Amino acid sequence: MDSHYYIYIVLLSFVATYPIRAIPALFISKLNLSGYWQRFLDLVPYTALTALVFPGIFYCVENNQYAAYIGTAVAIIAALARASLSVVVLVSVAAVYVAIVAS
Amino acid sequence: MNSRQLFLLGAKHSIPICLGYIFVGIAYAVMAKQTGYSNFETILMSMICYSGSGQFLAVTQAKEGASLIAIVIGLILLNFRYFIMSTCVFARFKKLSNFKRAWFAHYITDEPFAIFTTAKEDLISVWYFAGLFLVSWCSWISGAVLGVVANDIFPYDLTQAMGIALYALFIAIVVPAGKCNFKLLIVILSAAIINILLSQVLDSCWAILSTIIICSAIGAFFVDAKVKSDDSKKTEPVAQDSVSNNAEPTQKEDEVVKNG
Repeated sequence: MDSHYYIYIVLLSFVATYPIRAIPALFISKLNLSGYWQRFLDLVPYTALTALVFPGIFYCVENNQYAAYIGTAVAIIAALARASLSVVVLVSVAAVYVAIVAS
Repeated sequence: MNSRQLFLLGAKHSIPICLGYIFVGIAYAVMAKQTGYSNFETILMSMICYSGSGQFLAVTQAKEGASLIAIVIGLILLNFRYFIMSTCVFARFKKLSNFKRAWFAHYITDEPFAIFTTAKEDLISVWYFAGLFLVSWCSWISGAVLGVVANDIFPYDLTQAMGIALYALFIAIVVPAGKCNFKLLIVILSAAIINILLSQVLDSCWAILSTIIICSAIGAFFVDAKVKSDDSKKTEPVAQDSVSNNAEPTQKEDEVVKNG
């Protein structure tokens, strides 16, 4: 792998993010999107986050898929119980830690 | 209120955001370090990219050795919501130089956006903005710095366990939204299933991109992901300290458009 791979990613992450924020700030005062495209954009965060989580979450603990399954279940249950974001993250990390240590 | 009071009030309003940002910033940095980023690259990315889900995407895809173009396309798709948020925030400023617009635009993220665009009219000022957005940004970088340190001093099992933190955060954002909107729940579940299936046959980066486009494009025909006003109270505490994505900002921004 190219030894500059990571620094390229870091710099490109700026190139791919900053203009999205700056262009409307500089040029567009109000954006009128049609209903369909507005709904499309509203959905992107949910589909993107879901796709980022599944199936990646099952492989997030090296050599211990069961710990990852337990962490996933705990996170979903805590989120269903409407725990705050920080609590969901904390209990999920704690569950994985316990599962790793116990196995 | 004078400029100093406005700045301090903005900073005060950013405290719940900062708590969330520091913790998730640590988790991001630990993950980046485990992927192979140097300390410098890890912290620099928090400074110049400043997008929780964007950085998460870039790190997980780097782990797979994804092509740079795939990472850029993914970042653009994932961050496209900032386009709309930035439009709303800067529409609230009557007079602002282009230099300041270009400078401040960098600090647009979901949570400060949600607070700023719902703040009282008399708070809308450069100093209130600076207090709210700059302090949030600093807390995100502090998280990355702490994470780099934590990676060296935390026991291996604990840093391993922290690898689930950002996944858990996204579950915490998506699940409550699906719980109070059945159609959205269907889209979320199908996105999970489609991505699990697609990642069997495609590189994970292309699987994720295809899933985002397919599910959003089909879902947009019948789902309105905006939080209804009845549900907005329930999701309020969530929006206050989430780090990357939430329905709340889009809803708030919609109100601003109507009001403005």
